[in-house]
Amino acid sequence: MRTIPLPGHLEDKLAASEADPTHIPAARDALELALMWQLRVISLALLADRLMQKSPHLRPSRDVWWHQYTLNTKGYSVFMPSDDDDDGLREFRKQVAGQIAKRVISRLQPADVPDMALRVLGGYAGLGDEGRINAQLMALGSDCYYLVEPGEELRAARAAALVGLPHTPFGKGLIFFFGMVEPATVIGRIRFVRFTAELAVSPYEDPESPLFYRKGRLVARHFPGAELLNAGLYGHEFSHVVMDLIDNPRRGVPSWRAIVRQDLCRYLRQPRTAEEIQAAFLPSWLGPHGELEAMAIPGQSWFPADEAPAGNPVGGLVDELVRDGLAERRDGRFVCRLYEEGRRWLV
Amino acid sequence: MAGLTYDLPLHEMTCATCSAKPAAGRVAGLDYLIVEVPGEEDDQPTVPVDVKALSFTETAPGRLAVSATLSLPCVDCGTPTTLQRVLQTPALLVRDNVHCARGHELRPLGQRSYRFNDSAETGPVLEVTGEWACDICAEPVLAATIAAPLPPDTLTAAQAPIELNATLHGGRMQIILGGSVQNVEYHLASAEDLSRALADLARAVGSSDLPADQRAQVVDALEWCADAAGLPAGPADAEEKVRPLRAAAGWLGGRLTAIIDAATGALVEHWLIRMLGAA
Repeated sequence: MRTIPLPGHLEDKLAASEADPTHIPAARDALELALMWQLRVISLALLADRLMQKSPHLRPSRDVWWHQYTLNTKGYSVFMPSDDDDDGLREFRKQVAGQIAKRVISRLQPADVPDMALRVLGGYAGLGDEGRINAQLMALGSDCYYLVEPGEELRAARAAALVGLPHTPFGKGLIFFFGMVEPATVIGRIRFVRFTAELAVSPYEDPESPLFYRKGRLVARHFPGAELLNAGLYGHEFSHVVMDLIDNPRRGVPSWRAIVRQDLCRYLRQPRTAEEIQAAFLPSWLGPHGELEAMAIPGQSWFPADEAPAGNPVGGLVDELVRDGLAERRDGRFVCRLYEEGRRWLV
Repeated sequence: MAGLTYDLPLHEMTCATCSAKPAAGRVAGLDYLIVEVPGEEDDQPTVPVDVKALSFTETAPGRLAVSATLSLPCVDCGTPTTLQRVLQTPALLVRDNVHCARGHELRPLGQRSYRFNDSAETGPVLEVTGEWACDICAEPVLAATIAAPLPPDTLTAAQAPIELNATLHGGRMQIILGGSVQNVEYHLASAEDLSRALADLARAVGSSDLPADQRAQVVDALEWCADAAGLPAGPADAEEKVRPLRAAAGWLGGRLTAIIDAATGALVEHWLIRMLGAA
C-alpha cells in the first residue's frame, strides 16, 4: 500500500478527532482537508505521468493546466479558462515542471494506482474506495463528495492484488473529482452529483466536457452557462442514461428514498425553510429542468421499484424525518441536529 | 557547470526504460473523454538542463552548427542519463577581432578547431584554436587559442554572434574575455618549438619596418639561433651571434621575452634560452 504523508498539522487534526470523537465539525474539517490535500498531490503525480508521455495527444492541454492552476491558486477549479495569456499560469507550469525534474513530484503511473491509499479517519482507504470515503463524509454532514472512474475496475484490480489473483495491470487514465456538491445527490435511481466547488481534479479529466455519465452515475462539473444551454446538455446526457437503463434494467441505487433522507439530513445541518428544501430537492424527483417527465424509459421507471413518487415527495420525506426524531422544526425552519458540536461521530 | 543551459521538455528527460512505460488507456463506456486535444508547444513546460559539453562543426567560414551533450538524471527513476542534442539553430556566427601587437588586424589561416569549455572562473566559453598572420607587419604565423564568452542565450537565440577579441604577440597571447583582460601564455616545450618560434620571429623582423641595417643584423641573429637551437650545446661563437639581439627593444624585445617566458620543462635549461635570457 502506498500512502501520501500528510503535513504535520493535517495529521494532527485527524489524530485529534480520532482521539476524541465528540467534535463533528472538527472531524469533518480534518477529513475534508486531508482528502483535498492528498488528492491534489495525486493530481500532480498523475500530471507528471502525462507530461512524460511521448505522444502530444497524451500530454495535458492548456485547459487541463488551467484547472490545476486555479486549484492551486484560487483553491478551487475554475471550469472556463481565461482567454488571456496568463503569466501566473506560465509560471505555475514552470514550477510544476521544475519540481518534477527535481523529483519533488513523482510520477504516478496507472499500474500503481490500485496500490494507492488515502488517509481517512481511523485508517486508510483505497483510492477506489469511494463508498467508504463518502460514507465518512456523509456521517460527518460534509457537503463534499468523492468520485473516481473507473471505480469498479480500480476496486477489482486492488482486490485481485490483495488476494494474489492473477490480474491484468490497471492501465486506465484515472478520473476523479473531490469537492462540494449540491444537496440532492440522487435522481430517480441514478446517482446525480453536481459539483458546486471542485477542490481536487484529476488531470485525466476532459477539461471541456461539463457532464458525464457512467454505470448509473451522472456527474456535472461546476460549469457556468445559460439555463437553456445547460438543459440541452442534460438532455444529451439523459439520452445516455435512458439507453443504459434499457440495457441494464437492474442498474441504479436500491433506494431513492434512503438517499434523499440522507441528503436532507445533511442539507438541514443549517436551518432551512420548506421553500428552500423544495427548491434544492426538486431535481431529485423531476430532474434539474424537469427532464424526467419528458424522458420515458420504455417499460421501466426512473425510480427504484416501489419508490416512484405519485406527486411531490419531498415535503413528506421531511415530515418523516421529523417523526423519526432526525429533524425538528424551529421558528418555521427545519433543522437536523445529527451533526452538531458535542455529538459523537462513528464512521 | 557555470550557467549554459538548454531547455528540455519533461518527456525528453526520461531514460529509455521509463520512456517505454505504457501510457494510460481510455475508460470504456465513459462518454467523457470525447476529444483528445494535443497540447500546444507552449503548454509543455521546459526545464533548463546544464550543458555538459558542446561540439561545433564549421558549416561555412565563421558559421558553426552546435551539438549539445546534456547529462541529467532520469526524471522518473533517477538513473543518470546522457543525451545528445543536435541543435539546428542557433548557428554561432564567429567574427574575428584579432590584432597583432601593433594593432593591425590579423588574417586567419587554414582550419580552426572549436572547443567548449566551462569553468567557475570563466563561465561558458568557446575556445578557438587556429593560426593568424599580419599582412602589414609580416609577422610570422601566430598560433593561438582564443576564448570567447558564450552569452546565456547562445542555445536559444536564432543566431548568436560571437566576437573573438584578442591581441596576439609572438609567444604570448592576450585574451580579452568578457571585458576583463587575461594573459594566457603558450608554451614551448622542445628545441623544435624554440627553433620554430625564432624562425617565425626572424621572418616577422625581415618584413618589419625596422631600420634596414638593424633589421638585417637581427634577422641574421634570429636565423642563426633558429638553426642552432637544435644543437646540444652552444657553439663557441654563440655569444657573438646572439649579441645583436641584446639591443632589441620595443615590440621586438617583447617578442623575445615572450619566447623566453614560454619555455617550459627541460627547455628552460636549454643553452640558448639561458643565453637569450642573459641577453
